Amino acid sequence: MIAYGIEKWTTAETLLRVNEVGGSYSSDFDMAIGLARHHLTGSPTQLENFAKHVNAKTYGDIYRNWWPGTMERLEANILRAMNNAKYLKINLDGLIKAVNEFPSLLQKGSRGIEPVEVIRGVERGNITNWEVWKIYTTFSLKPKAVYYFNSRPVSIPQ
Amino acid sequence: MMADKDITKVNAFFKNWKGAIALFNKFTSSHNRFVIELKQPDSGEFIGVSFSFCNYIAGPTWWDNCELTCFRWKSPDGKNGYEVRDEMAGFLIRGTDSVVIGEEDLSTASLAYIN
Repeated sequence: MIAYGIEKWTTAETLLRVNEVGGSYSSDFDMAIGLARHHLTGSPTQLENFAKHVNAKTYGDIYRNWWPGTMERLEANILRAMNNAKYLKINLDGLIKAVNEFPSLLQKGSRGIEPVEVIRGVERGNITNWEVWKIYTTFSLKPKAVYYFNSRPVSIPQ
Repeated sequence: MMADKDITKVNAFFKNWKGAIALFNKFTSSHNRFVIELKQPDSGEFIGVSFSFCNYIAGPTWWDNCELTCFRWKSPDGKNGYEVRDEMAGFLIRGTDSVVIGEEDLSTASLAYIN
């Protein structure tokens, strides 16, 4: 994890600043992305707390509610918000155990927003994995991404 | 329908997961199947407990330090079923079919989950 530390983070910052100068965003808010629940305690405030920590808005802040009725609308709303956001601040906590697991997160996300996996009788959704994959693989979104792990900004494997 | 030995097995499992975090995971109208996730707060180890043909659920959607207990229950129309309670959390569920641990039927459930 330390290998992806400060030096590359500085590079990422630089890229973000270039992007900012280029004016490729159209709004003045940052969007927070990550698991709503804490992966160990089950607390449903993980994303809210992260958003406060990085001064960003959650989907719920942007749209005033969390569920638009269908997955198709949810996907469209998420993409619209991502496109409009200045920066996309992504909390990797709970999605991976170490930064070098990032490729496996992308692999899960590539399955789409909707698939549900049943593990030991518990249903796990794929929305956040899909969000990260979408950001990483979309030319216009990728430069806006800022990744966090254990409350610290990190660079992810390229 | 659960036999007494099944209720004993479920209670042995619940005893092993005493102190875990409990979270509502899913309700499916088909077969009135409700799933609760139990999660160990330190290791993150988790398992789902599925309640089939449940007809009453009450309680918080998420709580910690769970202490679940399973009892025999008879429905108003005379069917034998189960009642699971966590007195401290105020959680209660009743149903007329079975309680399934993980992805296994109780009759084949790994004893590793229970012992």
